[in-house]
Amino acid sequence: MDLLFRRLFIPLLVVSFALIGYANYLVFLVVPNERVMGAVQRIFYFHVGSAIACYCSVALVLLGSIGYLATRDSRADAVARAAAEVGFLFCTITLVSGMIWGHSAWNTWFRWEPRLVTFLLLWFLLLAMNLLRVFGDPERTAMHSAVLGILGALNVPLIVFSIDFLPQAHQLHPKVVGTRGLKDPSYYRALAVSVFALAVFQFLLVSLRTRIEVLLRRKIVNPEER
Amino acid sequence: MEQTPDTFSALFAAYSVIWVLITLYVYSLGRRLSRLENKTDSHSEN
Repeated sequence: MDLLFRRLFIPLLVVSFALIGYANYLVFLVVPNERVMGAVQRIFYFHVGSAIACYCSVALVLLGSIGYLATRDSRADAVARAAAEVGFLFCTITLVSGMIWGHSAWNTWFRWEPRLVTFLLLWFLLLAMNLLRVFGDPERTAMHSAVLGILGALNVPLIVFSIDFLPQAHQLHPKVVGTRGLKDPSYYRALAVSVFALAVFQFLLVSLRTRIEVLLRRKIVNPEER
Repeated sequence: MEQTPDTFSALFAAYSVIWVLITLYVYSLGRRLSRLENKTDSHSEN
């Protein structure tokens, strides 16, 4: 497992950075300014990419949590813990970039509407999972985190479909990709590359964090192990 | 929408936040892994 990690890590790192570099090139040098919002609309690509990366992390949290509850295997718990940390990072990035975009485009930092509220709820759930790991009873932390992880994962479909709860006219968060959404093909290409780049990067971070967790647990269980 | 300095400031601020947070996290991961692997190596030497 260690050898597999060492062999895959550098190639994944190179691919990840190449994709991110290409995404940045598309976002800043290829896509035209959006007609209404102008340059600030370029936040959109990494804002959506971060949101998708967050959902990918939450999916890994769900798999790890279910795996741990079913088998009590500490490796599943290690994956869930790692993914919760990375998911929190990307959730924070999505929220902050969205707030900056919202303030610049619509003069509003935050509004209490379905999508923003459900995404904020996810942020609090991920925060709770991470704080539980730091301050919780080590004997019970894994199980409690697994339950929180499943709850967090159930929130994701709510976030995705919440945009349809209210008419678009009553919501700040735009329903961007659709019949009236992005028109220039370069927008779609930049979005696809940004989303894929951040998803791969997210996977890399989860792998690295899982390895740290596995090494840490190995050291705790067998402090004299080589 | 008029292209004002505020528009570019917002764009710069958003991407700065994104990359500062990612950089800090990757740095912390690197330090944690390095410390763990050093401890594991020193145990194997002993």
